[in-house]
Amino acid sequence: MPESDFHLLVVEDEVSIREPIVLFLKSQGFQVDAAENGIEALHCIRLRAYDLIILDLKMPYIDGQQLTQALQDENIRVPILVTTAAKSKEKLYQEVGRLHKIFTLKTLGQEVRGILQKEYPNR
Amino acid sequence: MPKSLIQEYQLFRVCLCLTFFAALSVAPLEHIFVPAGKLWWMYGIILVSLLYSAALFFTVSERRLQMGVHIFISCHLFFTTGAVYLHHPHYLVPTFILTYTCICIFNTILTAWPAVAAMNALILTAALLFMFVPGSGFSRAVQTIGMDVPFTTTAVAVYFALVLIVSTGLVAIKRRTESQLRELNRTLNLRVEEKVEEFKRMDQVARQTQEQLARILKSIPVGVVIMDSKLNLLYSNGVHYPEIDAAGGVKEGKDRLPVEERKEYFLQEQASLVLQKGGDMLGRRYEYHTADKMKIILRYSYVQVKLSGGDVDDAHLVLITEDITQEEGIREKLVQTNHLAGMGKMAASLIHEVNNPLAGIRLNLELLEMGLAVPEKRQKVFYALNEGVERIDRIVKSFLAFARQEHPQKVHTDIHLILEDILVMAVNFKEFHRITIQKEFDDRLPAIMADRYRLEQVFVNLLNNACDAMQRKGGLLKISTGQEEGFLFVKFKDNGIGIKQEELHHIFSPFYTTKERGHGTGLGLSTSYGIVQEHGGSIEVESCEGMGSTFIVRLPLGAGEGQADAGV
Repeated sequence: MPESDFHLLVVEDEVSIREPIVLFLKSQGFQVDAAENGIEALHCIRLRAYDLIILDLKMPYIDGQQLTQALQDENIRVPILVTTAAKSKEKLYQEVGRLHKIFTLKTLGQEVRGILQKEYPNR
Repeated sequence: MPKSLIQEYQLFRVCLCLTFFAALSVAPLEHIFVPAGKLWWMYGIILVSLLYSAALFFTVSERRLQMGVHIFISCHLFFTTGAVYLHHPHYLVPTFILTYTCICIFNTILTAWPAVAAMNALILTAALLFMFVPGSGFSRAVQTIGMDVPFTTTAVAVYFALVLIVSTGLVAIKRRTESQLRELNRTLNLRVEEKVEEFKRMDQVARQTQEQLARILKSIPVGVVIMDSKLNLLYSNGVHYPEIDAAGGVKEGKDRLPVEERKEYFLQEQASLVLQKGGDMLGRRYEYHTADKMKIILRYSYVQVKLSGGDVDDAHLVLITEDITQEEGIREKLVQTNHLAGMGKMAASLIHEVNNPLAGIRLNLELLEMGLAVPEKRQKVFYALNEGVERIDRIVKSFLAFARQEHPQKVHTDIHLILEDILVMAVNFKEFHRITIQKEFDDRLPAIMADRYRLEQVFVNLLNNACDAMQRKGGLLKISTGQEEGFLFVKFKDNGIGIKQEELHHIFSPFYTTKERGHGTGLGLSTSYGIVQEHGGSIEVESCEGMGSTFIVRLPLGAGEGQADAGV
C-alpha cells in the first residue's frame, strides 16, 4: 500500500494541532491538504476527491457536524475520521472512526492506516 | 300639705282671696280699708305677695318664673284696686271684679290646668256669693253709686259665667295643642333616640375597627411609624421603632436600637430627605446591631399619605420597616450557590478548553520526539508549545479569579475593567466563537463603590444567558455603558431567541429556568438581581420573543452612600 496514493484532508481550526498532524502525515508519505474551518474544507472537497477526511467537530462558522450534513446533501461519499474532545456518541454521516482528544500521532497513524486498508482493500 | 309648687301657690291664692271676700262681707268698707285713713293692711298683703313671688323668682324652673310673674302682676292689680278705692271708693267693686277677672284669665291661660280652672271657678263663685249676700259690701257699694242692684248683680254674674266659659275653652284648646305637641315631641324623641343608638353603634363599630387595626398593626412583623409633615411622631406600632404609648412617651424594647440613634436616622435624616425630594422612598436597607450584638437588617420605605384628605400640608409620612435579616441570609446563600453552579459550569468548560492546547502540546512534543521537526520547522513547534502552555495558564487563571470566594467588599471599581476581564475570559471559550461582541463603552464613566467580584458574577450571568439565547444560530451581543440621572447603566443587548411574555415575570425568581435540564440552575438572574439591589441599583429586562433581549443593569454613581454606611 503506497501511502502516496492516498490523498487526505485535515480539517482542524487549532493551528497547534493541525500543523503537527499535517507534518506527521506528510512524513508518513501521504498527500495531505489542510483546512482551517468547515467552509475551507467544503471548498477543498468540492475541488477534488479525498480518500479520507480527518475532521475536528468543534469549529467556527461551519462545524464538523454541519460539514457532514453538507456532504450528505451533496451526496459526496468520503470516509471521515472524527477527532473530538466532546463525549457525544452520535455517529455522523460517513464516519468510519473516532479519535478522542488527547491522542498521539502514533495512534493517529495506526487509525488512518487501518481505515484506509479497510476502505480501500484493493489498493 | 301641698304636693307641688303649683298646688302650694293655688292654695295661697285661694286663701288670699277668701280672706279678702270675707273681710269685705263682714265689715263696712270704710272700716276695713281705712281704719285710720291708712293702707297698712294692703301694704302688708302686697309685701307678703312680693316676698313670695321673689322667693319663687329666684328658683330656676320656668314654671316658678311664670308664677312669680303672675303673683307680681296680681299684686300690682291689687294695688291698683286699692288706689282706685282710696280716691273713688264708689268704683271699688267694679274695679275689683275687672281686676280679678283679668287675674283669673291670665292665671288660667298661664297654667292651663283643669285644677287651676276649677279653683278660679271656685273663687269667682265665692265672689258671686259675696255679691248676692244681702247687705254685703257689693250691694252696698252698688247702692252707694245709685245702680239697680238686681240688674248689676245679674250682669256681673253673666260676666263671670262668660269668663268661666272662655277660660275653660282656652284651657281645652291649650290642652289639645299641648297633647299634640307632646305626641310630636314623643315621636321626635323616639327619632332622636334611634339616631343616638345608630351613632352609638357606628361609634362602636369604628372603635372596634380601630382596635382591630391597632391590634393587627401590632401583631404584624412590620414596623409602622406615622409622622406628620413637620416630622412629629404620631404613631408607632413598636416593632422596630419604639412603641408610642397614649401619653406620647416611648417604650424601649430589648431588640431595639437606642432611641436616639434611630430617631436621628429615620425621623430626621431620611424623613427630611423624603420630604425634600417629594414622592416615596422605597426598599432601602438599614443595618444595626442590637444590645446583644445581633445584626439586624431592615428594609424600609417611606410613603406619603394624605390622612385627613385636606391640602398638601396634611400629608403624613408613613415609615414601614421590615426585618429582612433571614431573607438576606438566604439570599447570600443563593449567591454562593449560584457561584458554585457557575464554577461547576466553568470547570466543565475548563476541561474542554484545556483539552485543545493540551492536545496541541502533546502532538508537537511527539513531533520533536520523532525527530520530524526539521530545524527550520522547529522554531514553529516551540512557538506552538509555548503558546499552548500560555493558553492553559490563562484559562486556569481566569477560572481561579472567578472561583475566588470573597466577602462582599465595596471598593472603587471601574466597571469597564470588569467587563473587559470577563470578555477576555469569554472569548477563550468556544461557546462564544459564533457570537460577535460589540462594545460601546462610555469613557467618561467614573469609578463607583462596588464589590468587584459580585458584579463580575452578575455580568458573567448575563453573558452566559446571552450566549445561551444565541447558541443555535450565533448572533450579535452589544454591550454598552453610559450614565443617566445619577445612575450608570450597562446594557447587554442580544439578538437571540428572546423571552416569552409570560416568562418575563418569573425570570428573576430563584430556581426558575427555561434552559434544558442540566444547563441552568435558575439561580443566575435571581442572584444577579440580589447583588445589584445590594448595590442600590436595579436590573431591568426588555425582551421580544424571537427578536432578542436587553438586560439593563443600573448602579448608583454615588453607590455606597446610605448603603455602605449602614454598617456593612
